[in-house]
Amino acid sequence: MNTLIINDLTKTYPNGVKALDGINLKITNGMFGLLGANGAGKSSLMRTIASLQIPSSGSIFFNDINIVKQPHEIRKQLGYLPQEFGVYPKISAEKLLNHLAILKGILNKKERKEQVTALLQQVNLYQHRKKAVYTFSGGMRQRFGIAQALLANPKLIIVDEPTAGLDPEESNRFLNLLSEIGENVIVILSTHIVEDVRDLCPKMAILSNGKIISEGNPTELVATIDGRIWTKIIPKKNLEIYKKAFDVISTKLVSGETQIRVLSKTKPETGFEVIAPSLEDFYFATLFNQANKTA
Amino acid sequence: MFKKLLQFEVFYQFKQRAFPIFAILFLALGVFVGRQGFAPKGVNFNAVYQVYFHTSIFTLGSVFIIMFFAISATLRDKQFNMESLIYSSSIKKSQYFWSRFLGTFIFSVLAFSPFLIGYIFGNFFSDLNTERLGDFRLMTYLQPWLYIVLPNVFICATIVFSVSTLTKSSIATYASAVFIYMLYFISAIFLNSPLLAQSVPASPESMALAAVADSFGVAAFFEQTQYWTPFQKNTQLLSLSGLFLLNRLVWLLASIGILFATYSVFSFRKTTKKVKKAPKQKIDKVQILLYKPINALHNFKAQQIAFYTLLRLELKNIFKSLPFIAVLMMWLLIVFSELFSTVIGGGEYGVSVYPFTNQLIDLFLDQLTLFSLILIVFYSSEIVWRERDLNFNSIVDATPVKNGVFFLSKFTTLLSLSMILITSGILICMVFQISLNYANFEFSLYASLYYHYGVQLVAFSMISLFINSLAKSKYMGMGISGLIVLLSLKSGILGLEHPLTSLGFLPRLEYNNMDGFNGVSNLFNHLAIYWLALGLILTVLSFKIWNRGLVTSFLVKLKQLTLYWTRGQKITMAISIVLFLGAGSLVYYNINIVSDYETISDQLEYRENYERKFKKYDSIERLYPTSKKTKVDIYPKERVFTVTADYMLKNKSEQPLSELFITERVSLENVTIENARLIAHDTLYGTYLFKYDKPLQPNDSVRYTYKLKKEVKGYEEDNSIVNNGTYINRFGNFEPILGYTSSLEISNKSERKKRNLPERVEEDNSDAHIVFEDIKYEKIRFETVISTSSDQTAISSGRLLKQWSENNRNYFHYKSSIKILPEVGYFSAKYASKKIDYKGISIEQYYDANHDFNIEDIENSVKQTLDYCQDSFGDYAFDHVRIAEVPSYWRFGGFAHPGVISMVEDRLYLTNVSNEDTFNVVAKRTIHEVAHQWWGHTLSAKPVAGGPLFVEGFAKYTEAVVLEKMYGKRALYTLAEDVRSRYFRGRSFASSVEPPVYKVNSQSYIAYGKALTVMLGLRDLIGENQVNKVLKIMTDRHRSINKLAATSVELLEEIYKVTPAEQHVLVNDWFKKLITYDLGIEESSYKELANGSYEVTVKVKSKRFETLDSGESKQISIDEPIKIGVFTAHPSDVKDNSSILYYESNMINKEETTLKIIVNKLPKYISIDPFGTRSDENLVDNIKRL
Repeated sequence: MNTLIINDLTKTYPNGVKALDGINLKITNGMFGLLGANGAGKSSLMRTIASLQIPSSGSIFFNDINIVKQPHEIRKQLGYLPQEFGVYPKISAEKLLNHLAILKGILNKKERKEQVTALLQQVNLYQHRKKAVYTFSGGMRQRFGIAQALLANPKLIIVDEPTAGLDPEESNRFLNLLSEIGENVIVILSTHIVEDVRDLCPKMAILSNGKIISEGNPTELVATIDGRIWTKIIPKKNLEIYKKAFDVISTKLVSGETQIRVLSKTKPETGFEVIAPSLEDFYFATLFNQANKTA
Repeated sequence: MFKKLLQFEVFYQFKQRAFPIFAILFLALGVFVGRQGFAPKGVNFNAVYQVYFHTSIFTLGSVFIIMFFAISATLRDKQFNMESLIYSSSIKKSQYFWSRFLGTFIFSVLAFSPFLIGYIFGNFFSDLNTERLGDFRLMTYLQPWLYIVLPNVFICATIVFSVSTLTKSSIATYASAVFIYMLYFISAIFLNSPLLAQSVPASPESMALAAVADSFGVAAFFEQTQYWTPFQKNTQLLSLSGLFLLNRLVWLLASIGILFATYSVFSFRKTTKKVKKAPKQKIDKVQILLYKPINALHNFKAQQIAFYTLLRLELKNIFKSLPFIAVLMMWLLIVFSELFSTVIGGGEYGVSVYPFTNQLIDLFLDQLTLFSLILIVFYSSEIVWRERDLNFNSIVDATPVKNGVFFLSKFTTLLSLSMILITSGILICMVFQISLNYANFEFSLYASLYYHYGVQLVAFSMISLFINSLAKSKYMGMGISGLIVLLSLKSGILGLEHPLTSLGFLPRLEYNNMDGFNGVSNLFNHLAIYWLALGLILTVLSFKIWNRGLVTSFLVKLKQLTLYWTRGQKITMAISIVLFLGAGSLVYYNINIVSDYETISDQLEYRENYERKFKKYDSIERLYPTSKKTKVDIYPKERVFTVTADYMLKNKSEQPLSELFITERVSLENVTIENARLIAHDTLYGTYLFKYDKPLQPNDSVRYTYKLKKEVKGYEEDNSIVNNGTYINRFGNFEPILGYTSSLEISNKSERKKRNLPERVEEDNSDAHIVFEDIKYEKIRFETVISTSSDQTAISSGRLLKQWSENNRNYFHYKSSIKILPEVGYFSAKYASKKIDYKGISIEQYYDANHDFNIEDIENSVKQTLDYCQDSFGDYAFDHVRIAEVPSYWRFGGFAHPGVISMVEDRLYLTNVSNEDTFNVVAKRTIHEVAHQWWGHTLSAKPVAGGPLFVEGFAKYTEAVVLEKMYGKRALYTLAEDVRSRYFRGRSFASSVEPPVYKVNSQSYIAYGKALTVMLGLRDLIGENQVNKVLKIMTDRHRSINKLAATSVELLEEIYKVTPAEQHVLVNDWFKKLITYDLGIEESSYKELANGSYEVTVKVKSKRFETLDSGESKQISIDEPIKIGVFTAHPSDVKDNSSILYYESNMINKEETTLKIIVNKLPKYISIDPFGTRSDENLVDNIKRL
């Protein structure tokens, strides 16, 4: 069993922005989902765990090794897919993956070749293996990124927005692969697709302004707001009125009509119907509460 | 719309922080250059010529500005992902293109122009000597701006902007900027541009080619002004004509062409990237492999393999990158062309040198450092920042590869760049050697290049890597390391002239085939350790602060430096520091303590004090030696020699003398004067004051002895005492000076003024002075016993009386049979020798056994010269001609001691004259030095103005007549061309007013230049026999006089005696005035006559000018006989009379004259004065093909 323990992790950038603000987490084997708005600190957190940036304070222990002090130890166990990345021009996918496999420490040539081939097949790039990654489309490049994150035998896999740019089919294949691998290792997944987290992750956390505002099992978390989410279709012009009167956590267009969702212990008004909450509702509700608290 | 776009462009570029930075930078540069007060003597600091010179060279720097603005104009849309927005707007292609181009151009001009403003400020608002500042004239600065700045910026902007627009790649844009530079340097080097100090002046043809080819117009500027006298440089604006005009036109039109071509090719709204057809993948049936994790290893081997794969990738990236390919191609081309032009094309006088390894590698060493530094500066930041630039760093930095491995792979890559240059240079050299059937490769010498030139590059690589690790961004890294490299080349500016403080400084090691590496190598070795240790310290540090993941701030990096030191790092650091300090102190000890390190101001201080303390002794009448006996013991291995001297000194003055003052050169162990005692001795200045026991009466003599030991101390560079090829001569003289010497005084006028020293008396060169100046030096009796190590032969002047071995050393006893000039040398080397007896004169050659190519030629030339001179000028003074080879440390062609001649290895022994068609430079040098046995040693001129005419002028004359006898008129042509360019080049850089030939003093451009032209003119005018008769009269008259007495006034009297009265004016013009000519063939044609002969009709141009005292040149009338010739071969190929159809003097008295000449064979060439009897700037237009 692998464990990742994060204690009181803080990162302040030179321009004064507090990207991480006292993060405490304990993560064990399995998929861990990280939700949060743009700029919430997801990428900062992931980069810090991946030893690519040094925290201002706090500690990270992976299997009892302080990886802030010994960053090299985490790199031996790590598979990392950054949110954005580029590659060298004029090097084919196969060669580049092979190069990275060497850097990861797969010394046996045969083993290396097998794993590289397997990964290329797995991410559906095998027929493009002779092409330069530089010329790949966004989705293809993302798949290459996934392949390299799985090289060798990572005990901690960090994937930052992995399904961005993938079509639904590819996205599914990848997530299935991840959850398979995730049985024996820690996979930290940041995403903005809330449903992915619900489907895949036994544990998750929501990050906002560098702080964790909620943490737990998705199903259990959703259960906490069971029976408190109300919905109603309203005329668009009345939206502001409703926002003032009730705790509107989200607005959606359904078949061209405005549907609002309100967080409330009791039925807010006639016309509202209670619905079974989704993880998305929980996410919005949490953000809503957080916003109100700070306001 | 266009106006709006341009406005925006202006607004945008103006907002760039770079604009004010560039403008201020160039303003500062202008001030700096304008106030540095560095101009050829006689030329004002703000002369038009100077402003052009600096402006045209600094426009090379404008390429950087242009590159920046072009990138920001054409690539900003792509960089900031604005392309789709811009392209979907309603802008038209033309509006887009021209607004962006104009923006680039205008701002480049605006950013560069402050240079000229700064220059004006530098000229007028600093402490420059106002005597050397002309009045302010706007055109002085405006004209260079119009003719140089505007066109150059436009041309460069066109090229860079076009590349940038078409490729949309910043790398390609840098490459194009680098390319423009390289193109400039290549054309400069290849075409022998005068900007790079070439040993061989360019031929007029290649000069013309360079003038057109150089896009910056620098060569064209030089071409137009190459022979401008200081007067012209001060007063004349450039004329927009000739090659300069052609150059500007060609390049402007070419760039407009490029611009329009770009405009038509450039396709707006489409990426210009070619869509390559994807290679068809074979859809092969492969077994589907299932992904399974594989355990990785993180041992040493893993790091090792990671290193190799990283290195391979780095190298591949570089080898495929455009700038590297461009630099490498240029490098290969330059090495090839340098080697080709010198080894096959020929160097001085078009003669090539045998391809000895040291000769070849010497040809590319300067460029090696330049090219390597460019690569290091550019690629150090390119390599360090590559992953970050590509945004690939977050992936590789998360792999378990150690910092050291990343670092080492990048470091090795950087090093390999310089190594590739060195290796490829060596390979080209070997290819040349093989193709010339030369098999002695001297691999160890080739290998030494990696050490002697590699070490500096390794040090700079380490420094650049460190800077880039510390820097916050790629451009900062590149900029700072570029700046540091530049400053290190000019560390004197910062007052860091000491070798320990001029970053990366290593002395240039001289190697020659005779002596190998000389003693400088100690300094080199110690400094090499010093810089490598510094590099290692920085390397350890840079690797501590290696950027992994995000770039951290400077403070964080400082913190990083103090943390987590491993044992290995600590040990490496400790060793490096110990080495650094150790080598540093060793160098300091040797330079500052052993050899009294002196800065320039220390030296000035010393000279000032010497003058203040001892000037009073200048008035004491000196004693002059009448005989010298020396005992010289040479220890070549130890680089030591000792001298015991025993002279007789005579009071030649009219009064009794009571004191004697001596200034030593090498510290004396002992010095005595007969009947005198030492009353004062200053050890710091090495001065001695003796008082005679009783006053020394006129014509009385005293004995004078001294003893000294000369050893090479510390890092002292002394090329006179070396392992093989010791040559102690007047340049490395040990003799104490008998008196106060004004040569130690500060000569710079303004420096004297600053120190309140009185002005020095100008030398008097009036006719009266020439005739009446009393020179007391005279010829003396000379005797010496030289000893040297058992494997060497020692040589000096005089008859060899005895030779023996004793104590495992060789002894030689020489004694002069007649009185000789005390201009003797002492030689010692492992010599092979060849002696023959020729009509009672023994011709003895001493040379390195490997350098025997030209021994026959030398011998033959000696014979021919002896014959001609004995016939024409009287007996030879000695019974031997002894010629000894000396190493190529000596920068002269040869030196004539009495009866003994030194000849330099590479300029005589290693030149290849085996091809009959090449000019025989071996014969030329030999004749010249043998002739000096008459001109100098037999006919000794009074050392006053006009003296050098006898010494060098007559030697050149003898050279010309003997060469003509041996090789025909073609030899005269080569000599005349050399003499012509030497004269006009020399006078254009003359420091003082040009004297006429009969008053030539230290002006070598007259002694070796115009003097020959005048002598050859005289020969045509009165005939060779008459000239020789005059020289013989002079020689006979002075042969037996011990005094140095012959004067040019006396010579002219003799010449007038044999010249018809009507020609006296012309002789007067040549010897006593500054007359130049412009001769040329304007038109020519021929037709066959009925009798089978040919009638040639020719229109010749003949103008004559006199240079007035003010320096102004004025056209004057002409009326004199000038030779016109009709040939079947070009005058440079005329071997004998068979190719001369007509060669007669014709009276020319008009600016244009038409002549008809009948010849009996088909004429090929017509020429006026083809063999240089008149001073004419342009010899090319004297000859025309029919």
